[in-house]
Amino acid sequence: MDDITRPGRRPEGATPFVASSRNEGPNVHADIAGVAPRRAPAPVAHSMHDGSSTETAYRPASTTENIAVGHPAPMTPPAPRPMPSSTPTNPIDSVSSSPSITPADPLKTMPNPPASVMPEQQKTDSSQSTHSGSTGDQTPSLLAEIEDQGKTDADGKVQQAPSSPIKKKHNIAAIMIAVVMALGLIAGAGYAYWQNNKTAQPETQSTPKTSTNSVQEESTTTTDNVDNTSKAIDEAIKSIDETKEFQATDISDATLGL
Amino acid sequence: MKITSLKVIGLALLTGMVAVNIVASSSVMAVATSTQTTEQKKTAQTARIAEYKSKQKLTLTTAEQTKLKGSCKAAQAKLTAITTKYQAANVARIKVYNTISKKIKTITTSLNDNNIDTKAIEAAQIKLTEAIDAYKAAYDTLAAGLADTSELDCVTDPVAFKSALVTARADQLVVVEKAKAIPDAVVTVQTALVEAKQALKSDQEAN
Repeated sequence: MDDITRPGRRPEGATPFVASSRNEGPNVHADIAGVAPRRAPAPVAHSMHDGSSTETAYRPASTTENIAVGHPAPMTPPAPRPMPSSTPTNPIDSVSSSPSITPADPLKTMPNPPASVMPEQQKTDSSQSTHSGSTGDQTPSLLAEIEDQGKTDADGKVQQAPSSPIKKKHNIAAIMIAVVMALGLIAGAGYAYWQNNKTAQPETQSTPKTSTNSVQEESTTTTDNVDNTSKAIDEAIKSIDETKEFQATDISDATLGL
Repeated sequence: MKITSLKVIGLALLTGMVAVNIVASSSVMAVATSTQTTEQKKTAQTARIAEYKSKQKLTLTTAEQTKLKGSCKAAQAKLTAITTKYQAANVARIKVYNTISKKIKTITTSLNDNNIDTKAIEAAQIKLTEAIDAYKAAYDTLAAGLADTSELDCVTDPVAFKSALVTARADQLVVVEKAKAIPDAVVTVQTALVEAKQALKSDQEAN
């Protein structure tokens, strides 16, 4: 998983983030590692710089709630990490302008960056207030995206969603099951075909063997061989008697009861 | 990844189903062929029954028809048992004929290898084969007649039943006659074998 460190979220030695009940709305991320989520700066984020709040919270730009500041004093936002793709300098603007919320620089390292997580709360803008209303309706969906895509640990690093390895395993298992089923069907079809042809094979195979053996045995023909053949034919023809097998009385009126 | 796995799953299942269809298609075709054969058999049976009636030209009185209607069902059951008995006898007879034919072929081949003239044996064997074929044809006719007699509706058409039964009795006599001709053909073969044996003996004594 990729750990995304929010730049300058808190200085070293700063206390971990604790959600402030004063400035937060519903804490949908309370279950995730027991840590409240980061939230994008809210319209009232200006108050963050007042120094009145002591905590920092990341919150989607759509939220209209106050954001708890994570560190006591207004800080100069550090330079963001250079990200491979272009990122908007103002996360809130990117949220409002793009069809999907694009995370800021630190979150670009994530394969599935939470679209609604705002990397820096310090980059607030007066436009927040203008956009908050429009994005306010997206809060539940954005929060759901955050919940689906990642969670934040105690260090404020967004971790990759744990479900993708499980999905891969499920895909591999489904493929294996399908392959086994296909092999079973092929094996069954082949067995049925073999059974159908099995009865014909012995009859065809036996005949040439018999003739071959008989030819080999009688390659040096003697008068005894001719005599033996003649006797065998005689015995065979005497073993059947058509007068006994097809008697006229079998289908007479008396026999049939007519 | 998801799309790729689905493709693999679909391909594997498709391969298995194709193999099953190949084997199943042959059985389906066999079933279809047998269904057509059954219909053709029914049509042929109807034609044969009409032929029995026209050939025998029987005229039954009312009393005879009434009596026949009352007893024909039991007679058909007995005919079915007799047909089964005849079938078993025919199978055993055909097996004997095949054995005789093979032995004649074998000895003919060995005599040829020893440069003995086998034309007489071969001619006798041809006649034997013709006699066996004549028996087979006569038996097939008898079997069809017995089956028609057993299967037709004797209560509705007692005249057809009587006509088919009379025809089957005549066919039975033909079968016995054809079966009796086979031993006569075998005797001819044996006569040729004796001559070939004499020739072989003379040849071996000369050598």
